[in-house]
Amino acid sequence: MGDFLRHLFTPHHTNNHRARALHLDALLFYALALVFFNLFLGWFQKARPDVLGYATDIHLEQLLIATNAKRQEAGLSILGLNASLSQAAAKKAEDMFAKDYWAHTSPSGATPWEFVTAAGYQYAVAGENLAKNFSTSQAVIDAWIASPSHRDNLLKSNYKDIGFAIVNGVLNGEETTLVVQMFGSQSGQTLAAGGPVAVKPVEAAGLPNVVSTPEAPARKESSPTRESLPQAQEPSVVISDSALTAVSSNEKQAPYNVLTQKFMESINRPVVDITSLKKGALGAMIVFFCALFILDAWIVTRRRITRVAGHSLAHTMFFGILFFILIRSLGGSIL
Amino acid sequence: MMRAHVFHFIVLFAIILGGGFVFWYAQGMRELQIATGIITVLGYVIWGIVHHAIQGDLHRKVVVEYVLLGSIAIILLFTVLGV
Repeated sequence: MGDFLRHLFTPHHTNNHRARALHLDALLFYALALVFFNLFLGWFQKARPDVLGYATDIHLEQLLIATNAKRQEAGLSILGLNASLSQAAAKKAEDMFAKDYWAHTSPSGATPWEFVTAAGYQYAVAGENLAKNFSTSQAVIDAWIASPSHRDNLLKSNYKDIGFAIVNGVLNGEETTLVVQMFGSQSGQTLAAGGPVAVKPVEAAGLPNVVSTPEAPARKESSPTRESLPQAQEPSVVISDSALTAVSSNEKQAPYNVLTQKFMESINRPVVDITSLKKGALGAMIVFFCALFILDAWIVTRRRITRVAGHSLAHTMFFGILFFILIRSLGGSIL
Repeated sequence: MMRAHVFHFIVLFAIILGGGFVFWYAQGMRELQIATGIITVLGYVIWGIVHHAIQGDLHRKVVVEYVLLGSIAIILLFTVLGV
């Protein structure tokens, strides 16, 4: 058994001083096995999405609660869920899927605040955070908080309202759960009744704009306003008040009746999460390669073996960096 | 010889790291990510061939080894990107 393992994994005279697992036919076998693994995943995912698929558990309520918890931790006022901002977020998400882009500004030049005003929200200040490919609400908030520019947006003291849309679709050929978070405050808006008092000094208007998470330019009160969308156009699903932690004063008058269920949550609980499966399989394969190459380089250097073969150190470097890039790519992205 | 060896590895490190950076920067632009991945892998294979040619130990087996490892990297990339 020991001889077999030595033959398989270490340079030895029985394997021409190159681990059998690193011979050319073995490498060809790995390549073909990976191709079949890929094809199988694609086929099985389509055939049994309940067994193998992308696991997501993102809810509007959780995003709202987590956002407000972060704001409270920072001593800021909580934000009220605003129907118009949520509608703007939903329209933005639909636009991103329809035009297939991952950016704050659409290919046709539409900025986030155009969606905000089109939804009937007359902002004094507005902002937007985007996220995709995250599996839980907390992971989305954690990623935004970890990014300085998104954190600045999320913890801006002069926002009073917030809106969300959580939408599943295919973006750039990739099955995605997209989260759009829109912030804003309207001219002359006051804090929601009963909301915590901000202990941090309120920042002055005219804050520098965040580059990656754009904030709309301040709008003067005299700026022309767009008409709000007619009530009849608003979808009819009601978000229960109990699910919400904050309500802005003007919203308290009307129930939340803007979002359809389609935009409020993304819940998919397959038996096997394809992202975790890919991470595990690819991670294991790359670690296997790196371990073999390091062992090979160490033994060959120690025994001063001369042979015709590729450079194990180069291969280790290549697969080592590839490992970090691929594992990072399987996580969510924010913008 | 040792200095040339170190220089070769610095070049390889720059190729892989540069490719990795562009790949990361191109998040959300799948076509660009695929192109970056393929170009980086090609860079790695060419580096291997040039490196061994300069070392004087270039052999068909070596070329096939770099090509196969590059192919595995591309398949891994496609798996991640869901191609």
